[in-house]
Amino acid sequence: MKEILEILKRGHTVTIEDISEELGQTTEATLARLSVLENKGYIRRVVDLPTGNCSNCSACAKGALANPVKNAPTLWEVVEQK
Amino acid sequence: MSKNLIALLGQPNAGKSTLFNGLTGSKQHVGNWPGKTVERKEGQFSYKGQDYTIVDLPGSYSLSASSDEEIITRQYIAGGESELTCILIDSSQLERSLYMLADYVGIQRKAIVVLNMIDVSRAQGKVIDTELLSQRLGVPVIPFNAADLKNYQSFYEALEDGAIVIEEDLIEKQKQVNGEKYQRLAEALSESDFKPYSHNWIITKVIEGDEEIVDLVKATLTTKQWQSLESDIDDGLEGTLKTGEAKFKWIEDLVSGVVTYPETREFKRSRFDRLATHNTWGKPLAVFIILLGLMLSYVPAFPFMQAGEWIYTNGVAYVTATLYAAGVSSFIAGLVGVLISSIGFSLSMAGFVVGVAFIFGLMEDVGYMARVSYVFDDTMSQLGLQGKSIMPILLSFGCTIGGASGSRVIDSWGQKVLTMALAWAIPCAGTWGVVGFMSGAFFDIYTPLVIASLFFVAIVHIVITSKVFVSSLVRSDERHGLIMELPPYHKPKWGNIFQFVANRFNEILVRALRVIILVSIIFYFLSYSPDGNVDNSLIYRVGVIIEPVTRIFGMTWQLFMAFIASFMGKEAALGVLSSLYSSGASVMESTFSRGDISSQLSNVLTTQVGKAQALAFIYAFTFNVPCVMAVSSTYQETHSFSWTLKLTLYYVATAFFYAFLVYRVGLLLWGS
Repeated sequence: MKEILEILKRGHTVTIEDISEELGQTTEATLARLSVLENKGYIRRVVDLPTGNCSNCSACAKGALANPVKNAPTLWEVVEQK
Repeated sequence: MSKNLIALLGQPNAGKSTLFNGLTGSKQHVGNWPGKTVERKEGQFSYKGQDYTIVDLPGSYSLSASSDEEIITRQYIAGGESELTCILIDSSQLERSLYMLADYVGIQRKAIVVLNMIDVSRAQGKVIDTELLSQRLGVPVIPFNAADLKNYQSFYEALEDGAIVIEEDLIEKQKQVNGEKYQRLAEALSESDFKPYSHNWIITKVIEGDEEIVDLVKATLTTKQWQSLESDIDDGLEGTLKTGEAKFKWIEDLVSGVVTYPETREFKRSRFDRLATHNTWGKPLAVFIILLGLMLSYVPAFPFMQAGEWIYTNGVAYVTATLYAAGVSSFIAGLVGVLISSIGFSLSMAGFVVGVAFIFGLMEDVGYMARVSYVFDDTMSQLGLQGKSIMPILLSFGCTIGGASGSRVIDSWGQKVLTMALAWAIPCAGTWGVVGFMSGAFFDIYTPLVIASLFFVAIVHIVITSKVFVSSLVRSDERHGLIMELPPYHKPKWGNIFQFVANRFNEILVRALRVIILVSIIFYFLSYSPDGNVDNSLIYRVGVIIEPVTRIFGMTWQLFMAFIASFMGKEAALGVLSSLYSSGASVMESTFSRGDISSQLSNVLTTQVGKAQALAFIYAFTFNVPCVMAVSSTYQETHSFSWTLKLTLYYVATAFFYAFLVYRVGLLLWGS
């Protein structure tokens, strides 16, 4: 699990496949570790924050390209430990 | 120990409720765990004359002390009230689910393991040798489907055979991973008893910084023993990573040879994906596909643009002619003409937005857009942006406000502002609509080329803008890594896509109609003069004065006013053009006096404005500041008036600069 955090420290965006390939494990194994890391608070999902200022406008929250068809990738980032 | 009292343990979504309800039916009692707000469920069932009580322990991922649920669960099991723990594992997410088991091993209470959702894992193609697994664990392992209420036999039969899970292998792994620390702890604890927790379990929890267990150890050991340990006691952040890895190693050994996976059918699909995410080829492919998409978006737009054009040329002509012939005043006829013209413009504009929405909605639905986000990560890095910035950047294609407020996900202020500064360069849906309309009206089938040129210039513009602002916003910040789970590709879900496109069309059309009609009415009034001579109206007089300056940038005064109006909302530009360029009352008069309408009014816009000017306008419009709401949003998110002002001035300046350049190029191509 520490290896995954080390990979993240490099500062790039990596896919589950990238991690699995580098660590020589299956994607299921990587996902299992991610879920523990997430659960223990080492990483968290990057969540689309609600947009403000949109009382009359639906262009982005509802209609923008990045959002509507529910096929967006899930993103995780490291949680800064204090 | 209560006879036949069973504790039901498992992660959320492992199917505990299904099993619990399947066993107990209506014989349930719901309450609260003492002193906590966590729900406590207890139920009864019988089998072969025996009565059983089952307690549903709160769902948790493991048995640490980080939540009420986990503490309750742990204390209940350790307390010994129940005589058997039924550990429910989701066999379709085996490794993840087994982590709970890994955390249980070491607690010396009898257990059975239920591999639930066996139907799902079989559908995945997994084959699990439960016999072998049972041997390795030393407890019954039952393949199970809690939803299949008729086949609970194996579950009932196993209840008598609970045993303590074999711990040896896990102990080995923990020793290996934790090295000397483990040895020291083992020695300090050797003389004490922590039943029902094994020494290994206690040591693991101490390394993890588990507060409850650390307190327990402190209370159990002598002062001297405790002191020898103190340096090894910390917050457990590092420790948890180590013990976690040991648990996963244990899990992997456990399932090796027990689980056989199917040959994955992903191989075929992954060839394209390998290309799409390739180090060298991924980006050119993405650029090619996006460019192609933008150019192709003209195709679904085409019918709308044709319809729109018909409306604002012939449609206006027929209606106003009829009205005029019926004796309606030229003022009213002209006004109606402007309204109809606005409808035509709105339709055209909405059509182009629909084209873009369709192409990109399709790409997103199929799963390709995620690859684009991934592949441009290092480009973002070169621009000084974090990986997360891709989210607000993508939102900006729809609306720049999305780019501004979407920047909230970014932690550092400098990065936020830089993201917004670059998001302003991305044409929003409104911009695409107007630009598409103008290109279509002036450049016909060459529209895709105009779009392509805008695309490339936009890329250059983003790079330049980044260079301009990056050093004052971002000190070589440490870049934060991001993990992305790419969604699988799937065939387009046309229903979804169609619905998305239809919604967009609706929204854009409604908004466009409102803005364009309103603005065109305002400008119609401004361009009206009592004597019917349009040159005497207020707006024309102003226009003529400023025109010498606007001409430098290749814009007629009308285009310039449209450009300025776009600050209120991109569509407003069309409202200005619709009134100033289609059916000014005097234009009507002069046409009717000649008695022949339709051919004269074919397309006032394109006869009055040259291609070079149109292109200059298109470029100025595209690279201009976003609308006032987006600027206001940016101000709200940056909390900096000076930065918002800086960006505004920069973008206005560059808009004029591009207009100037492009106009000269246009003159070379088409003359004036």
